[in-house]
Amino acid sequence: MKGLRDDPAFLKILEEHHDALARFARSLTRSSEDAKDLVAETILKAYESWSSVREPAAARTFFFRIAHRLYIRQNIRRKLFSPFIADVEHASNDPLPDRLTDAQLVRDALQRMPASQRECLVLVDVLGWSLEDVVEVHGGTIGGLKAKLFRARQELKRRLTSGSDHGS
Amino acid sequence: MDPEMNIDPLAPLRNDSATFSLADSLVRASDIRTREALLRRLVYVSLGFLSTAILAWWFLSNSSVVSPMTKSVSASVETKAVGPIAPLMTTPIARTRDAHIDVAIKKVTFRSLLDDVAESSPATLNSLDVDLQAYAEIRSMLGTSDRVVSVDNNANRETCLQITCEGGDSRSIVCSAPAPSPICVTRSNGELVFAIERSNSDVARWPLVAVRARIKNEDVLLWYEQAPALLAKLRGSNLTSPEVSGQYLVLRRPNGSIVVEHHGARELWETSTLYRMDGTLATGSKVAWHQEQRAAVLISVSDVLPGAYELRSTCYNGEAERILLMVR
Repeated sequence: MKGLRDDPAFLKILEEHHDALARFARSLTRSSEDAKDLVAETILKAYESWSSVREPAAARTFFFRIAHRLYIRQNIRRKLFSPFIADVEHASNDPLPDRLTDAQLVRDALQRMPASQRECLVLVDVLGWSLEDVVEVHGGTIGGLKAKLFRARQELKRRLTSGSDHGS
Repeated sequence: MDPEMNIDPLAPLRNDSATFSLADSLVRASDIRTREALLRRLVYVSLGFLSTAILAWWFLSNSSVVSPMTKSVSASVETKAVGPIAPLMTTPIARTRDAHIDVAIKKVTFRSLLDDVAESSPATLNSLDVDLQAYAEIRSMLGTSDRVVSVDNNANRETCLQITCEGGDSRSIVCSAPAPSPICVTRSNGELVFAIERSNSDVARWPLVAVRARIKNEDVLLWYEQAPALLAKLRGSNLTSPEVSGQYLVLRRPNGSIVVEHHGARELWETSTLYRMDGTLATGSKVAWHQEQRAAVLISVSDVLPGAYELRSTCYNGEAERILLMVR
């Protein structure tokens, strides 16, 4: 990855957003390996079309839009080939077992939600994005996003409180 | 569960630090890029190999043809080269490209035999003592099992046409001075109207000559033997025998077929078809023949009705010949 490493401007911007990108990817995907793949592919795609980004302030939307599209593509691929993909979860670096359990419970509940709801919920409630920024990445309208967020929160609450969903 | 989660269930995710660093992501991106490049190269190589194989197969299957003669020659040479004292040399297999061969197809055209029958004038019919009224009468009263017989009465020096019934009863229709009598009366397409037998059981040995006549608004052909007596009567007219390579008077077998042994075939026959006198195809009849080189041809025609027919045959060398068959 010589070219990418030799581009300090790109690396600097990427470093700013990598943590958020990684958490976004980890919240969306089933395993940390999938999250790593999603981030790596996002970086590659972003670097390929980095020249199209004129305003560094737009870099965050640029990265997340790419990650969003790649995630949708991954989802389609997973639906087509899901019987052949082993759902392997790797150990987290989190030192506290109870925290790991909590995070895992929420991730499990998120995985069972529709993808669009999951994305909106992560962007707004986990990463703290404004509704306008989410609309810019995800498309649609503010009103539609609010409704989707409401349904997503209700769904998450239902799944977390419903005992039948756990461990299914 | 963490009490904080009861208030904000997403707090564990929000406080969760990234599970992998930027360096990890860059290494993985590098791996993905390498893997993709390798995969792309593999696909290109595979496609190149596949297209080359397809082109080679197409070239070998379409543009090279080894003739059977070349194959046998090559095989024999290769077999010799296997021996222990054979020199180490490879024998190239001769390949010949598809050559465009111009084949000149000789189109064989036949004229109907009816076209060769000249118009007969009233004078000609008078000279032959043709009594068309008597023929019309015979045709009208002839039964399916009846026969028409020409009887020469030497005592009275006259010739009579009689109708002989199946039981043996006979009745003279017309008598005239001795004159050539036709052996058959057919319609213009060759369909038999009635045949005239000889009382002395003679069979026709001479080439046949057709004379056009008209019986009650119907064109008919009177078929005569080209005997000296007839030629004497026809002197001055242009009536001649049809130009055929053979004429045969054949009696039908009980199953409706005929067998003819034709001599004088010029070449090996390729096709042979039965036609009526007016040139239309005799449907329903099948022709089979057996020929050994250019010797006699044994012809068998099935399901043939009495009448005059023309057998048209084409030969392998493009020649053609036709035979007149008078079926009784």
